[in-house]
Amino acid sequence: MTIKTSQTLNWKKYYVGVIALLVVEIVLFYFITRDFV
Amino acid sequence: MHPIDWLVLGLTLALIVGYGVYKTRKSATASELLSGSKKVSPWTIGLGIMATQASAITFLSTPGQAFANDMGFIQFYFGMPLAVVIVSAFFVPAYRKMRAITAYQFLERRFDRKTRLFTAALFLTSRGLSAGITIFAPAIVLSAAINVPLNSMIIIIGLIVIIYTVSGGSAAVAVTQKWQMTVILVGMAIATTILIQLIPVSMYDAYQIAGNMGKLNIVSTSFDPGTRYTIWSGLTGGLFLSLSYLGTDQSQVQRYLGAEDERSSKFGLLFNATFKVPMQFAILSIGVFLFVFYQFVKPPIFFNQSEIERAPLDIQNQLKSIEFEHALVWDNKREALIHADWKSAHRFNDRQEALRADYMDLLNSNLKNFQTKDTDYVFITFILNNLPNGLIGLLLAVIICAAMSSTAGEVSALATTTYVDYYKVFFGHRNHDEKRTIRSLVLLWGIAAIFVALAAPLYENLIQLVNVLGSLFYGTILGIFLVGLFLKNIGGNQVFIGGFVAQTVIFICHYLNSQDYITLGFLWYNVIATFIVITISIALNTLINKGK
Repeated sequence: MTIKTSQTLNWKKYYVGVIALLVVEIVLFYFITRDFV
Repeated sequence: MHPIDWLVLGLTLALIVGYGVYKTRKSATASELLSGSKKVSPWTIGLGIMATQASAITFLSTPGQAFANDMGFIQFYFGMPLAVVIVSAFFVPAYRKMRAITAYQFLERRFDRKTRLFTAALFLTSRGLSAGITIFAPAIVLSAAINVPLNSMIIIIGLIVIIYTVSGGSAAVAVTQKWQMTVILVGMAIATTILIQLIPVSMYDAYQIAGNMGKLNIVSTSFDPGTRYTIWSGLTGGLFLSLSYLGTDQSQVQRYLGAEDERSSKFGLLFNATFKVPMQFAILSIGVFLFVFYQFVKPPIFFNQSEIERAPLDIQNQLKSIEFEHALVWDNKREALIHADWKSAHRFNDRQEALRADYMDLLNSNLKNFQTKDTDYVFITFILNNLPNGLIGLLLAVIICAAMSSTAGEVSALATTTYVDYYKVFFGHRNHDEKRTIRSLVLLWGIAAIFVALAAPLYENLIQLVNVLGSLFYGTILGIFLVGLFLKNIGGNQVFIGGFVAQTVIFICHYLNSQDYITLGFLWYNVIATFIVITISIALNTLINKGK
């Protein structure tokens, strides 16, 4: 059994995840704004 | 206010403070007072980071911003998830590797003692003053809204914070922040649900009204430097500010270094990166819903009623006549909105704005120290006039909880930095009762925050000064840390001179700005100072190497 530590965790996956979430949010906000401009 | 509201307010605050004191009364060691109990979950760490960031004014001002302008303010937070990634990848491992309690310890290990003391002093100055304003800003709104004297309000909030922060230090801050954040989220969710229920049109129509009246402008791609919030300023200026705040401000660093291991610290930060933008979106949405609500329920022309009550009788009569005309225009605007006649609605809206401007001019020319900004009073006016008894008390508890959680985080960080970076350095060799010394420092910083808050009304420009304080110091601090982390060959003397020059240049820039010799947005101070520290450090290092 492998216990996950900070060193063994693939942090890149999480970093890409939060940046992807930000991109999705910005795109969503952009489309809401564009609806009324 | 109804006795039930006082009861709910009192019980909520007493339970949270009591819980904080009880949980930490026996176990609080010197280490826990300084950096918290290590046995906390990543969720608690994440909520603590968020709770320290979210002051009471966040919940009062942010809905007001969307109500009066639009949702563009959210772009300011776009840089935060990016900053979290950088802090998590570079700052956290550096701090955890040396088992740091404060961020500034890293600077002595990397450079020398004078750089550590210089940077810690910059933090203590800016955060010491802003802790007072974290109490003052909501106290002035609450005191006007519920008719409690301002000074009593300040002392009450300050004393509650002191009680549990002195008792349990950083550990008590962490355990109480979890429950404060829970009360805040539950209270805000209930208020939003009731607000939506009270809007007499469907959500689709509400969305159309808000959008066509310009409230759903969220993303601006404008390159005009005069536009305050754009996607570009959010991603660059917001990144710089968030990087300094999350990576070098002890009130934030202390929260994630309070975790058991590096993994929990990083998860706490990632929690913040995930939920910060949606949370701000939800708070701004309340402002948009309030805007739609007040298209169907007659709003006051000016939301800070206590200012209107100060006007002399003859002025009151003139104000009443403007209010009468404003009400007629409001009726016409409502009709236009119901018939989706956006052009007429905009015309009536412009007329309303003009009448409001006349109203405020009249107050401004007849009242000493008239507070022109009433957007902070929009949400609290809705709470007091439209929520049922009991829930008003809960929502007031939300605002006071937010004030307490951020002030406690700041006061605890100030005490920890004073103890670790100054007391231990200069007097650490003497025999002393660690717990007693730390608690005394927490008490001193708590009292200092109360005094700053009490003195705030005496200095008209203090709030404005404190708003720029972060930007005055953050750039230099960030520059020093970035050199420490990424430019491994640069020594203490170079970065110290760089930091000193950068801080002097920023003070000169601010003086020239305040005297109107130059026009420079405060956010740019961060970028300029960071750039100066890095450039001078590299230049001096190159010169020294050439000399060898």
